[in-house]
Amino acid sequence: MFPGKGVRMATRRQFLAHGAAVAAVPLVASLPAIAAAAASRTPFAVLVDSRYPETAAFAAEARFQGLAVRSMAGDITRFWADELEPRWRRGPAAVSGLTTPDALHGLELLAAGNRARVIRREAYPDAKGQLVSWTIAPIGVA
Amino acid sequence: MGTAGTMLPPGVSRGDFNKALDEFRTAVGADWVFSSAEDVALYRDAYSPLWGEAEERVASAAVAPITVEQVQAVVRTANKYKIPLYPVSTGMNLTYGGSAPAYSGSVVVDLKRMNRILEVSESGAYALVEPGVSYFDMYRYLRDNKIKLWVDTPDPGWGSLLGNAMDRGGGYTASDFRDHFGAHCGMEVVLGNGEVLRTGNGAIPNSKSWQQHKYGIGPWVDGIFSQSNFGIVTKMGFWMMPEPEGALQVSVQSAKHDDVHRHLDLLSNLMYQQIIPSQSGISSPAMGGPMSDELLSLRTRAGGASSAEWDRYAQSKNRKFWTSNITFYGPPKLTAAQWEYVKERFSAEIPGATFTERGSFKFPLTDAQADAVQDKPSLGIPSLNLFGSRNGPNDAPRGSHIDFSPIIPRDGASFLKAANVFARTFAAHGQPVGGAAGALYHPRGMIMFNSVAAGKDLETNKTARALFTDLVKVAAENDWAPYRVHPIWQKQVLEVYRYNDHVLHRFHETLKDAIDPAGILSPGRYNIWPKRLRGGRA
Repeated sequence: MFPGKGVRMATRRQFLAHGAAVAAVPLVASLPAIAAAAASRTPFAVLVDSRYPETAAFAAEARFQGLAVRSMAGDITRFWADELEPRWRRGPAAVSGLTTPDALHGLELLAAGNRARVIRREAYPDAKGQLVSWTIAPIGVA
Repeated sequence: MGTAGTMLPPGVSRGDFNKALDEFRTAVGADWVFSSAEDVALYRDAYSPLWGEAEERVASAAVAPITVEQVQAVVRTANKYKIPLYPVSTGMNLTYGGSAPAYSGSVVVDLKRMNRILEVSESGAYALVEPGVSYFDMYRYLRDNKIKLWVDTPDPGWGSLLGNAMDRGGGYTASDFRDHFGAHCGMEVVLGNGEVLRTGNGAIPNSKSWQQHKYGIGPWVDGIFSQSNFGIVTKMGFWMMPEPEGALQVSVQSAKHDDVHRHLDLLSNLMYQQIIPSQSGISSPAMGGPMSDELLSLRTRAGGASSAEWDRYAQSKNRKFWTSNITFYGPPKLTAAQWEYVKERFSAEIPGATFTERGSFKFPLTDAQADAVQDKPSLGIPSLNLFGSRNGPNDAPRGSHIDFSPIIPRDGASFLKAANVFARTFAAHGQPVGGAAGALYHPRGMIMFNSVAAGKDLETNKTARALFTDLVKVAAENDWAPYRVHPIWQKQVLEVYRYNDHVLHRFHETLKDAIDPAGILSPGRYNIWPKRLRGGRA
């Protein structure tokens, strides 16, 4: 976290708009499809870049929603090696985050080799373009 | 653009393609044949400078075998229906084409499910792996099993040992290991007719020395399978670096512009003697940094600015002119002695040379200690911190880019000339001029990396293509050429290798016709075309 910057709390609406729990599914879908889509869109983890104070509120809200939060200081290596890659080897899974565009860029390139891609990518408000909130989900999940 | 997942391989009917896909499904299982647009789009080159345009190289489908027998079955089916195949290991050959085929409509043979580490010998210091084994896989395996070996990793450390070696990538540890193709020992290859070949001592059934002696008997053929389209490599042996007792990371700097000649010669001499064991390079703090009008003018002047002008500039900015990072490996008393000797030589031969110690380590490292290492690749630790925690104003462009990576003769005059002509070329295209640096991955060559920004929009990519084409051209005018290049420029680069009426290229295609007569393996890769796709050319 940058020194001297206060932590701003994300509102619940902000988190839902930009956060991980974007489990809305088309109302026209069949019930089994809804269940499958919701399950595959619920992130197994939420990654935040702890260098940015804006991510603290985001992480708190994710925890409040029962999601596992992982933090890093810009470097995605450990998250990839210890969690994401082993998780994807076991099967498809969604992952969300609030990181720099560079971190998302690296993860997006790795996702393609694991039959997943970015389904949501939005500039995070109040972060002066430094942060992007995103979800990566398996192929077949809209 | 040719639409990924909906196009047919050129010259193949829909009916035949469907039959081939059915046979692929029989061979590998229906779940591992991908033909929907969404699935096949994953094999697009994310950094393609032709993104979304008609000429973008895209696949028609993908198939992911898990055994060598399945690879053989895929190859036999491809022969039957004349389906072009494009094998990839883990598909991370980004900036040089990614996992997209050189020839649109090819079926990507995705080998990442073949991810077994077949053998690691600590006493023999080697490993035998399949194509899908990544640097992270090997690093994890070595640590989990407390094996005192290192894997030499590129940076970023994604991708496959085998795939990176086949494209002649490089790493950062000692000289016997960081030239990844040079560090391999033995391979297994599925040929164009579906036969399986083992090279070197692997041709001796049950040989226990396959990963110990490269050459076997008679002609050594391994080289023809790298940067080529003569076979699908399904196993590869690698010599691994024994974990040293310790390491010392240092850097040496010299102050004046004209020091480049002695600095590079001395650095190279110490590397050839293996007193400096690690990857190193030369870069210029003075020529880098924020690109002011003054610096741009010095960098792009025809013929280069004078030494006096450069020295005045460097002094005004309080910057060293040249710097090199080095890592020594071994017991502390040995690395200390190596460092002392390097300092003695630089001090004696380059007045004003200065020296910095960047870190010392004792192995094995704990996970927390490994995490804290700044320069991870030189200690055999794969890293992705290129994405996010290492970016500064002078780093490679964020996002899509393609690398122009010519081999420049390893001497100061060539280095200065190359830095000047490439800076002028970037400026002529209105593109940012990067730093001046030469990387010493391979035993004797020097690579001068130049990143060209590409993107997902037409204008950026049009500029990128024009600039890259010009970089190849100006390099060729100086008899330089890349060591590895994106498929879009493979034909142009192969034109540079024109000695004796392009006899080398003709020899490549003679081999192609003999080894892969149906011409199904990676047509067009490194401009090697099978007879049926040469348009009447012999």
